[in-house]
Amino acid sequence: MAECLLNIDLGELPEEDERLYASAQVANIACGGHAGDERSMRRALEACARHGTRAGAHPSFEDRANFGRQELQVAPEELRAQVAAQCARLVALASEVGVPVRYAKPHGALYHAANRDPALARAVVEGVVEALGPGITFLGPGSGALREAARAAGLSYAREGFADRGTRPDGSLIPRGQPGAVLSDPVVARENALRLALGGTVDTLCVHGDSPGAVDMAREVRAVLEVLALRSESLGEGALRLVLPARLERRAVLESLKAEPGVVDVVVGEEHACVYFDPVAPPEDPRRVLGRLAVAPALKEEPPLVTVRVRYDGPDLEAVAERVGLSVDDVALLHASREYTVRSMGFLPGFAYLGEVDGRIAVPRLATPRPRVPAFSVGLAGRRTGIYPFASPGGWNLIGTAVDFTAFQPGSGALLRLGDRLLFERVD
Amino acid sequence: MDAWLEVLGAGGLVMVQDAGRMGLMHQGVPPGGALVPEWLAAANRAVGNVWSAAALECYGRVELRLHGRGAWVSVGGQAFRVEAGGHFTVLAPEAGVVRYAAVEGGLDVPEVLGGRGTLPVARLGGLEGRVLKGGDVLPLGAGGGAREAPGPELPLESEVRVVLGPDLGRFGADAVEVLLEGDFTVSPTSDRVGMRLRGPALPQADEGSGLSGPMVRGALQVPASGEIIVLGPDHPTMGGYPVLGVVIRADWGCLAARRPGAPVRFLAVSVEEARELWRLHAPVYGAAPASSG
Repeated sequence: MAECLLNIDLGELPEEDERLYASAQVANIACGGHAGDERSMRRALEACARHGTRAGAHPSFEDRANFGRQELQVAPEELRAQVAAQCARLVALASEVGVPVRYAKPHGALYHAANRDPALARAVVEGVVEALGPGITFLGPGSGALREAARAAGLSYAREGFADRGTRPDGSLIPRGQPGAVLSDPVVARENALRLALGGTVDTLCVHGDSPGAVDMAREVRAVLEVLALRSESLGEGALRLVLPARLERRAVLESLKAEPGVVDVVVGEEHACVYFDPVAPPEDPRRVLGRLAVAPALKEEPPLVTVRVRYDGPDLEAVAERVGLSVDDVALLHASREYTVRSMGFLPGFAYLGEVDGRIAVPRLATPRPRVPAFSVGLAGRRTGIYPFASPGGWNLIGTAVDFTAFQPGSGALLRLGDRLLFERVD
Repeated sequence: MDAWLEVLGAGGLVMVQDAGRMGLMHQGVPPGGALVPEWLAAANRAVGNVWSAAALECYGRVELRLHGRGAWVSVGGQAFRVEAGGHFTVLAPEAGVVRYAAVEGGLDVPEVLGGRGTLPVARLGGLEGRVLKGGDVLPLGAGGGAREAPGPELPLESEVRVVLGPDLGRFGADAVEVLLEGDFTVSPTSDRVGMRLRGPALPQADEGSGLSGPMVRGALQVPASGEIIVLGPDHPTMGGYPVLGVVIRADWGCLAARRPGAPVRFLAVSVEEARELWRLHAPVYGAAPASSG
C-alpha cells in the first residue's frame, strides 16, 4: 500500500490556524493568484519548516476578487507566464526560508478548466516546470488533461481525492454552492478519507484550509492515513505484525482485529499488534481494519478495577531499595500508591505487564534471570510490574507476594484483560 | 469409565498432547499441540482417529496396559490390536526425539480451553496439567473409525526453510549469511518451549532494551549470546529478543523431531513460497489441519 498523503490548501487566509500545518503532509501555498502575498507565503513556508510539512505551489487564475473560483478566458501562453511567475515568487521566498518546493497543484477554477482543455493543461504544467523544475510531483484530478500533460512532461503525478467535499452517488463532486458540497463534520470527512484511500484510485487526499471545521477534519483524516500507512511485517507466513501508533487504544485494536473473519488470534504488545491466520487464507489487511477503527472508535466503558493484596517480602526488595536510595517501606509505598493499567498480556498464561511504575523505583531486570521464580511473586522491571501466575524462570526483581490472587484459571482463562486497571494493597 | 489406559511405568517424559489450543495467545496461552504434528496425525490415523485426537507424546520408553475393551493401538504410526487387559510397550524414540502412541477412540481427558493437550508451564490440560507417571489412568473415547495407512515419512535431514525477518534491522549485516551458510546442530537443552541450536553465533546489533513483542512458533529468537532459539509449541507468547526469521509451518515438525546433535541447515523462502509449501504439506494431516499458531 503506497502512502497516501494529506494535502491542504494553505496561505490563503489571514487568520490561519497553525494546527493545519501539523496535520498536512503537503501544504499547497497560495502564491498570489487567488490569494497570498509575500508575507503570507513567508509565514506559510516558515510553518512548513517548523512542522516538517512538504511545501507545494498553488497557482491560480489571477483573480483575487473571486478567490480564483471563477473561470477566466486566458490564452495558454499568457497563462503559462502567470503560473510560472506565481510559482517563481514562492520559490524565491522558499529558498530564503530553506524549504524546498516539490509539489504543485492548480487552484479552484484553474484546476477544473485546465483539466478540460489540453492546451491550458500544457500551459499550467509548463509554467510550473519553468519555475519549479521537473523533479516535482503534480497534484491533480484522477483523470483528464492535467494528468496527460503532467505525464507527457515526465512529472510524477498524484491523483487527488477530496476528503471535505460531498460526492454524488456516481462519485463526482457536488458543485460548490449546492447543499452538501462542502463538509464540516470530521466523522464524515474520516469516512470519506477511508473510502477514498482504500478505493485505490487516489494517491493524495485534500482538505481545504478555508473549510469550516478544517482543523478537526484535517486531524482526523491524517489519523486515518497514518494507520493505513503503518509498517506491516510478516512474522512467518501465518502472522502479520504491525507497528502501532501510541494514540490507538490497545483494547479496541485487539477487539476489532479479533473480530475480523480469517483472524485466528491477535497479540497486542506495547509497540505491536500481530494477527495470526491460516497461511493459505490470509485475512483482510489489518491496516484497513484499524483505519475503520479510527473512523468508528469502540464505545468506551470504564475498564474493570481489580485490587490485589501484596505482602512486600520479595527477595530483591532490599536490593531494589538500596539501588534507588529509598527505604524498603518507601519502595512498598510507592509501588502500592498508584493505579496501574494492563499494557499487554503474554509471556505466561495470565501474565499482565502493568504500567507505569513510579520512576523513583524503576530498576532494570536482573543481570542473570532466576531459574525458578515462585508463583504469585510480584516483580519489577523498568517501568513495568507484574505478578507471576505460575512458577517459572524469570528476570524481574521480586519485591513481594500476591495474596489470594489467581491470574489464570483453566476453566475461564486470564483474570486480567488488556486495558484493565489494577491497584496493589499492602498487607502484612 | 468403561475403557481406560493405564501407565505402568515411564522411562522418560510422557504426556497427553493433541493439536493444541488456538486463539488464546492474547491471554498469554501458547498454541501448544504436538511437538511433531505429522507424527501425531500418523499415529491417530492408523487407529481410525481424527488426526488431532489426544494421544501420548513419549520422550522415553513407556509401559502401558489397556483396560475395559480391546482396541487398535499405534506406536509410531504402526497399528496393532491389543485385547482388554493387554500390555504393550512404547520403545524409547530412536529416529526422532519423540514417539506418539495413539489408542482407538483417543484419550478422553477433559477438554480445557478448547484442547486436551498438556501445557506444563500453566499446569493445565492432559492429566492434571502434568507429565504422566506410573499408576496414572487415562479414559478412552469411542473408537471405530476407518484406519488409514501412514503418510509419507518426515524428512529429518532436509534443509529447514525459513521466512526471513521481521527484525533484520536488529542484527549485524552478515547475520543472514551466517544463518544460511552455517552448519548448526540441535542442542540437548531443547524442550517444548524452544529448541536451542549450536553453531556459529549470529551477529546481533541490539541493545536488548526493546519491549516484548508478539511471537510465533518457529521464530528464530536470538539473545545477545548470538545463539539461536527456535520457538516450540509452548513458547512464551511475547518475547524481547529480535527475530531473524521464522521456520515455515510445513517444516515445524521435521525440525522439532530432530534429536540432540542432529544437523540443521537453513534455506530462505518467500512468504508466497511458504504459503504454497503449506498448501502442499497440509494433506499429511488427512482432514484439513487446524492452523495452530
